[in-house]
Amino acid sequence: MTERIHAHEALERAAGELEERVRQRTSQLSATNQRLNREIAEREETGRALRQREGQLAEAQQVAHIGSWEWLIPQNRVSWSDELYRIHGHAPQAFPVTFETAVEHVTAHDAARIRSNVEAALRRAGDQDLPTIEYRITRPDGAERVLLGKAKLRVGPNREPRRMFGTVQDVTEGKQAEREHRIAETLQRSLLPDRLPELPGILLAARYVPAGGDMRVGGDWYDVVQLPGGHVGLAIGDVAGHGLRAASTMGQVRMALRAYALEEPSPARVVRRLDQLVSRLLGSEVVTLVYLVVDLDSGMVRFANAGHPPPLVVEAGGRACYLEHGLAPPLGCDHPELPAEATFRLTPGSTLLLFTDGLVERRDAPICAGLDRLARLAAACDDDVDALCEQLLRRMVGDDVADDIALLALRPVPLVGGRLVVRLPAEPRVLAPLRQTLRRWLREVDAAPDVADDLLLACGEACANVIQHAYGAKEGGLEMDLAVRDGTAEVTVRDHGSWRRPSGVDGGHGLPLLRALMDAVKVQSGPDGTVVRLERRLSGGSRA
Amino acid sequence: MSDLAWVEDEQQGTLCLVRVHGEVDLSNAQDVAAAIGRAVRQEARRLVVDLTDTTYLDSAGVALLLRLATRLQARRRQLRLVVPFNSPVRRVVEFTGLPRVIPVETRLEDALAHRDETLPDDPR
Repeated sequence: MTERIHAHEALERAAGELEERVRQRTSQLSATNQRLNREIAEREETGRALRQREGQLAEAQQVAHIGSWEWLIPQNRVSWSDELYRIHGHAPQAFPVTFETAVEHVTAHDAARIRSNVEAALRRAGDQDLPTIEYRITRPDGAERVLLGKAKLRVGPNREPRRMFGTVQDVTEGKQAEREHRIAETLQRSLLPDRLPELPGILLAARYVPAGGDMRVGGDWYDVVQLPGGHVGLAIGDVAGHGLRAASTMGQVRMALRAYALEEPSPARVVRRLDQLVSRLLGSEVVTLVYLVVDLDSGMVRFANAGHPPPLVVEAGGRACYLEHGLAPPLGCDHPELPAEATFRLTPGSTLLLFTDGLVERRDAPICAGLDRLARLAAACDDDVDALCEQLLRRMVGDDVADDIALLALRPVPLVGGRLVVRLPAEPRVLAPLRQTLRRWLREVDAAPDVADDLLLACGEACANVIQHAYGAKEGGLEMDLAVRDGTAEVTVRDHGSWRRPSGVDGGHGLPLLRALMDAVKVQSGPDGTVVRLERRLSGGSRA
Repeated sequence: MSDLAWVEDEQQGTLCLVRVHGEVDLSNAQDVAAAIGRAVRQEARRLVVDLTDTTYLDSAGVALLLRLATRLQARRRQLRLVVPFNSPVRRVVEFTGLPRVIPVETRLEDALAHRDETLPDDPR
C-alpha cells in the first residue's frame, strides 16, 4: 500500500515535472516565437523603410536629374541608378554597364578628358576626389545633353584601387538658360555705345547698371548720335520685359533711331517713324523713349517724349526742373498724330539728365517721390557729369538694383573768360564737332563775322594738318588752346607726333592758307611734337 | 556718304550740274569726290559744281576740286565752279589760287550760260 502510494506520488511528481517542463518549454517556444515574429516584423519594417528610402532616393534623383553610379574596380563591374539610365536616354537597368560602355556615350573630346582624369586618379592610388567635370553625351535619339560629373576613389589597405563612385547631373536646361542670359547680356552690352563720342565743349557721361541678383537682362538703352550740322542726338529708352527678346527689340529700335535721326531733323518725326516701326513690325512690344536733338552751337534743344520719364535739367545755379512737355504715348500704339515736340535752351553749365525708371522707381514709394528726390539730389550736386552719375546712382539706389538703370548726362562747358582748351584724338571725324565748338567760342568772344570765318578755316586747317601728317598710321592726340588777349585771338594747336613732309596736291595748301588768313603764324617743330601758333585780331575788316 | 555733306545732281543733255550741300573737310572729301564722280555721266560734256550751299570747305576739299579738274581736262570735259560773293568758302577758294585753274562764277546762271564752243567733241 505504501509502495502504491509512493508510486502514485512519484507518478504525480513526474507528471507535474513533465507538465512544468512542457509549460516552460511552451513559454520558451512562445517567447522565441514572439521574438521571431518581432524580428520578422522589424525586418519587414527595415526592408520597407529601406525600399521607401531607395524609392525616395530614386525620386530625388529623378527630380534633380542626378544619377549615381558605382564602379567595383577589380571586378570591373559598374552599376547605374535608374535615373542615370534615363539621363542617358535608356530605360532603367536596360543593359549591364562597364567602364567602357559608360564612356561610349560621351562625345570623343570629353571621353578623352574623363579617361585621363580616371587614369591620373588610379596612378595616384589613394582616397581622393576626382576633378568635377562638365561633359557632353549623345543619346541614342541623337539629342545632346550637358552633364556635370563628380566622383570619389576609395582604395584598399594596400592602397589598391577598390571602388569609384559618383554622381552625374543633367545640367542641359540650366546651361541653356545661362547661355541665353549670356547672349542677351552680350547683345545688350554690344548695343550700348562702347564709348561716348568726344564732342569738344560738351561733357558727356553715361551709366548702365543691370538689375542685380537674378538672371534677368533688361531692355534699357541709351545712344548718342552725331548729326549733320554739328547737332547731336540723345536718346534713352526702355523696352518692357527682359531677356533675349527685350534685348533684341532694343537693338532694332536703336538702329532704326540712328537711321531716322540722320534723315529727319525733327525729333517728333523720328519718334513717329519709330512708333510705326514698333507697331507694325515688332508686334506687342511696349517701348518708351525720349529723343532730343541738341544744337551745340546755340544750345537749343528740340525733343519728343514717347511715354518715358521726363528728362531733368539742372541749371548752373542749382535749379532743377523736369521737361514735361512734348509728351506722346509709348511706341507701339500706332498713334495717328504727329507727336508733340517741345524746345528749350540749354545754357552753358546746365546739365541735361536722361534716365530710365529704374533710377526713380522703388517698390515702397510712388514714382513722383523718386522724381522729387532725384531733382533734389541732382540740384545739390556740383560735381562733373561723371561724378554726378556716380553720386545719383549711389544715393538713389545703392546696391539693391531691382530694375535695370540707364543714365545719360550732357553738359555744355561754359567758355569762361574766352579761354577754351580741347583735347581730341587726331582723327578726321573730330573736325566737324570741333568747328561747332569754335563757332560757339567765336560768338562768345564777339568775333566779327568775316574774322570768325577766317579763324574757323585756319583752325580747321591747322588741325587737319595734325590729323594728316603728325602721326602717320599711329594713333595720337591733338590739343587746341584758344584765348583772347588785347582784342586778338590766340590759337595754339599742339601735337606729339613727328611730321612727315606733306606730299601731293593736298599738302601744298595748308601753310600758305594759314599765312593768308592770319595776322601771325608760327610753327615750331621739336622732338616732342609740333606747335602751331596763330593770331588774328577779332575786330572786323578783311585782311586780304 | 557722310552726314556732313550731300551731293545733288541734275542732267541737262550734255550738261551736268552738281550741287554740294553742307561741309567738306578732310573727313569726307573722298566721299564727296566719289559722289561727284558718280554724277558725271558718259555723255556729259560740261560739269558745273555749285558751291552755293557749301558752308565749309578746307584744303582737302580744294584738292578734290583740283583733282577733278585734272581728270576732266584729260577727258576734254569742261568744269566750272559757282561760288557766290558772300559765300563762307569764297576766301579759301581765292587764297588757294583755285580760280587760276578752274573758272569760278559768282552766279549759277553765268556758269550755266557759258558755253565754250572751242572745245571739240570727244575724239572717241
